[in-house]
Amino acid sequence: MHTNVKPALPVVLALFVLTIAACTQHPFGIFASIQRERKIPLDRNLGKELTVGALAKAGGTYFAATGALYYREQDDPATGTRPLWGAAAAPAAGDQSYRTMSLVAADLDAGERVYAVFVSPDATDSGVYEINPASPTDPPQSIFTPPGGVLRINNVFTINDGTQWLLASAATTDEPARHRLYASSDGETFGFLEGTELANATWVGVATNGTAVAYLSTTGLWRHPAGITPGTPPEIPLAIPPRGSGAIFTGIFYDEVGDLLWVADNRGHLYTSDDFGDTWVKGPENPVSTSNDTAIPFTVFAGVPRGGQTIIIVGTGGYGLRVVGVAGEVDANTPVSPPQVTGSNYQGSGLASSAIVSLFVDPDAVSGFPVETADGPARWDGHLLFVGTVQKGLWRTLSSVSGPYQWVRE
Amino acid sequence: MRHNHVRRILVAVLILIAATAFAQSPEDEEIFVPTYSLGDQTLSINLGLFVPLFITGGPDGITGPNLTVGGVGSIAWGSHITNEFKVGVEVGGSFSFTPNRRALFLVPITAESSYVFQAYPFEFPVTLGLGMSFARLEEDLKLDPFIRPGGGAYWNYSSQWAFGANVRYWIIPQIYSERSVAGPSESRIGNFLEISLSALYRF
Repeated sequence: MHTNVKPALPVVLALFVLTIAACTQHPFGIFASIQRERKIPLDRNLGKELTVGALAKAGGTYFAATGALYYREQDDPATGTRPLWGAAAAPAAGDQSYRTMSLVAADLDAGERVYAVFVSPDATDSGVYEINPASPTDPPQSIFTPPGGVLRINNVFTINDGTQWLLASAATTDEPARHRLYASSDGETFGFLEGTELANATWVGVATNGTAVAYLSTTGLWRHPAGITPGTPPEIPLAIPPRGSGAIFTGIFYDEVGDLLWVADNRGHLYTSDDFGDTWVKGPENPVSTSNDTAIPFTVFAGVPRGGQTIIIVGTGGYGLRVVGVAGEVDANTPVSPPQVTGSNYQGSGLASSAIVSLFVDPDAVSGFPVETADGPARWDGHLLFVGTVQKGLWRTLSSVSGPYQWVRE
Repeated sequence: MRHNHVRRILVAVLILIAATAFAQSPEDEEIFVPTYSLGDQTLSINLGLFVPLFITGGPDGITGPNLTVGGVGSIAWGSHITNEFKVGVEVGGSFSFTPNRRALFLVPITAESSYVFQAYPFEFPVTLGLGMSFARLEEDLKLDPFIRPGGGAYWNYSSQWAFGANVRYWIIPQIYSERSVAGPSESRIGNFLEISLSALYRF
């Protein structure tokens, strides 16, 4: 019964080392996360592994830029119907290969429309296209193509400084590329915002206090103090947000309750300005958790109306959401905190470890809609917050006003 | 013709191997009362059910596991020190699912010691396994201490083969230190039950 057997020790050790090397850690425990997990209702048909670059709503229809453009109508509380997502048409009839990751809704001369940037598969063709929410399966209409000296249209933004504007950011043919902004107030003609071509970094967002407009690039903040004026170059405030070494700006938001302009970077810092860009407070570095001093890579902001207040939240690049606080009561020095997890399905949702690239608050979602929650049937009674992630789909809140957020995946 | 000849030989060899290993008729069965000595080795394969019991150690006390019943499998090598006492190594794995169909994989690697009560043709090993276990949930991976007491019942089919069942209790203290990303408040103890069928080969 004696046999000389040599266990494959080197192989086992190699596997062991490889596995250890592949270890990753998140700001929650594995068993603790399972213990807290509550079932996520899956009530729609959007892909769970999509990246959702942008979401907008026009004419009662949601549009999601996921590479492909998807749409669905809002829920109907009268009938209780839950419309599903369908594919909208791409620019070239019958050719769904054009991709979009940026869109906005704006009410311009044509009425309420969605404006999306479509890019061809080889990135040689791009443009801003208009989609009529009443006929999303009709091919979108091109309204802006790259003018001379422009290589590619990258993003669209919208802002209302008293006039509703549609903005398009574009990369020039220069080496290295410069980045311009074009503006349109009618959805037909775009004017070049002269001076913006001096930016050598991509534009990431725009904000207004109702009068002045601030444009944020990954490296600085520019401003039109009297609103968008295409013939006048925007000014560069002397005290631009004091960006740290290696950091880039990622998000901008105007808190009208506290009259604060917020900027976020990818190195854990938030910045606030109470004079719309002249002076800045740079907050302390926000770590991932109390036991992990890795700086949070912040992404985009949103202000979520809740219980008569506006809650400022900010997305992160891989750590889910963070709550900044109640608008009017916080500034850059306020440490951010993770969302409430007790009684919520947040941590078990996969959202807690998602990279978040888009946030959208539905301003006119209807209340009282019958919903199925982890705790059984209920009626939805609050604003809808949508969260677009990198390769983890589109998430939506499902909550009462007073309770913690429950999440469903679209 | 040549193909047919080769095929006949192959079939004959396969039948011979099978007959040698398993196909002993009752008349040929040896009367085998196993006695083990230092260096006698065993190899066993276990497959069965993985039953999550509860999670404890958090502010909510003991709670349900929030996991489905899953599957478990392992392969174990052992070597006798004495007739009753055996030591060895076991590598296994289990899977189960959270309410949102996230898969939890546990991969324990243990040093095993067994005391084997013998009552021919049955054997009743009582085992204690100590080691480490990898826990993977989506992209999160953690290495935890692992404790596995248990017992089994085996029927000696032949001098080489025995078949039986195991019931073993998995205790996984998942400790997060102050320096970890999650922090100590996320520490929990997972408690699971393994119910498996086993085939044991002696050599």
